[in-house]
Amino acid sequence: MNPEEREELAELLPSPGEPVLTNDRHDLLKDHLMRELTERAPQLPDIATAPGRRASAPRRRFVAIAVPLVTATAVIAAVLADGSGSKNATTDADAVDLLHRIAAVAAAKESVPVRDDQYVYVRTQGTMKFSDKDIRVLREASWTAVDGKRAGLRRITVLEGPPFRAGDPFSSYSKGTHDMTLNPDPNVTTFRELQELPTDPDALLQRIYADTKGEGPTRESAALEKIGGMLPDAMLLPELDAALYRAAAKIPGVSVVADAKDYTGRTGIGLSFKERDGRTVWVFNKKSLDFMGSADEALLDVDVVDETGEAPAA
Amino acid sequence: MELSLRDRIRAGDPEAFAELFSAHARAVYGHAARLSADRHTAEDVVSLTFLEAWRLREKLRPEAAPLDEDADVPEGDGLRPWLYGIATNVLRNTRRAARRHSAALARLPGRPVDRDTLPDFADDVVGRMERAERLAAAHTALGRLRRTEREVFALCVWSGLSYAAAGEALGVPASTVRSRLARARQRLRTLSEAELARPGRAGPPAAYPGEPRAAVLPDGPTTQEKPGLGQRTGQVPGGRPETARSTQEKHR
Repeated sequence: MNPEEREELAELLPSPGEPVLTNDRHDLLKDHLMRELTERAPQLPDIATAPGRRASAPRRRFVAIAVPLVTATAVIAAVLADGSGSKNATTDADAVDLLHRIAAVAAAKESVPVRDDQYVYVRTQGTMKFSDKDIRVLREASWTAVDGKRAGLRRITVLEGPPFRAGDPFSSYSKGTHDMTLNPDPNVTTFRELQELPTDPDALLQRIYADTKGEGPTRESAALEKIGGMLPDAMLLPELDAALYRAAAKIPGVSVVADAKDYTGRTGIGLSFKERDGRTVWVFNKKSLDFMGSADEALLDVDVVDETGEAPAA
Repeated sequence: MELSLRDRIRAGDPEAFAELFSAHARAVYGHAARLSADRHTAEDVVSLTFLEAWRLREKLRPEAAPLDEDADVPEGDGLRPWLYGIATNVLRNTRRAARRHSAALARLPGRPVDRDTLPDFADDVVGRMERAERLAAAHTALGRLRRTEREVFALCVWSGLSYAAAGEALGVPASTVRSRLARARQRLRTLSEAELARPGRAGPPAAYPGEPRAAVLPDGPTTQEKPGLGQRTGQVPGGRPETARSTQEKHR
């Protein structure tokens, strides 16, 4: 059955939503099951005290040592697969709900016709850390060729940072505006490639997991990081945009931040998850549910223009 | 040689069941909640499904089903149809399953009695009520179908199983799943047309996104805006023709 068929059928009934088994209930039910099973598995007495009881980290080592090899591997696999581990890695029902609402709004937008000879324009404001003491605030506009075959442009305006000095290795990030050419790079995902991605959330998520395999501290955080990276350009692709949020709703470890701020201090509703260095918060306009960037980098504008260096018509 | 998860389940390795639970409990819960429209029942169905899986572990086929051609996504460990099949039986006769595992169920850690009446946040109640209402509305509408049609609809449409996987779960050929689903579609179409034709009768319950629940909890005591509250207004699809440019804030 293809996604269109599934969607058509789904529309014949009111949507039941995504009932979520919360992490605490999940863990309670799992503990209960494991106690029931291990108490009836006298052939494996060592396990009786181990996996059922949810304890802190030392338990894992104990289990791994105490049980037969096959089982030990299984325990490690289970611990790894569990990934989330900590209690705050909770995809609570509210986050899933919010993501689905964001997706519904995204899906309802009109798609923008985009030609191969145009450029995707993205403007952000954030920081760049050169050392603990040297953190520069910069605004960045980039023009990326839609087909990825022509050079693009990155224009950086350093708002806070040291003035230009000859011989400074970071002089291209000195205070002021600097242009740099973005040469076509096969490693950069082009807009056309984004367009090719599946818009069925499950298929998209499988693809993202496959593409980010081995990256990041956990599979989940790597996938969310990848999704976050695609969100600005995806604003031009309503179907993909919606699918990205629906895929994110399937990843455990996302929670809602009622009052979040993007990097420039604009307030909104946030979705927070753990990334390699601390938590990342995506911020959305509370009313329109538009993506506003993150607490570390505000997204100011996304559009399509004809020439590099050209700002979109207001 | 390394034993597969399937082998270890058949062998009664509890750790294999721990893995199985981590991988599939949430999906089983979603399916059970959509079919029962009751979160407590759904939790019981999760427990009963895995207890039944343990009881029936030796009946699990030693080999995975052949590669599923019409699957939208890879099936992972291939065990989900088996679990959905057990869950389906549990849902068909929850009482019988509960009797079989009554001792185990009695040892289930109690769910907080006040969970539905004394929440932490007043507005969380609204979110929960909305979710419950949505679930109930879908359940009512699903009730217009025959049981066999309900099952394939929930499995294929709501849980995203392929025809083949749903067939494996229900113990029927994929072609049967296909024809049941076609009947379900026909029936739902006919019903909604009949409903539209009947004067003075409201249509099926509003689909999500629903109406704002201002009547349930008026703005006032809650100052903090929490998810699930007050956000549903102004989000009607098509209500905002503007596209990406809308992120540009004009405040600078």
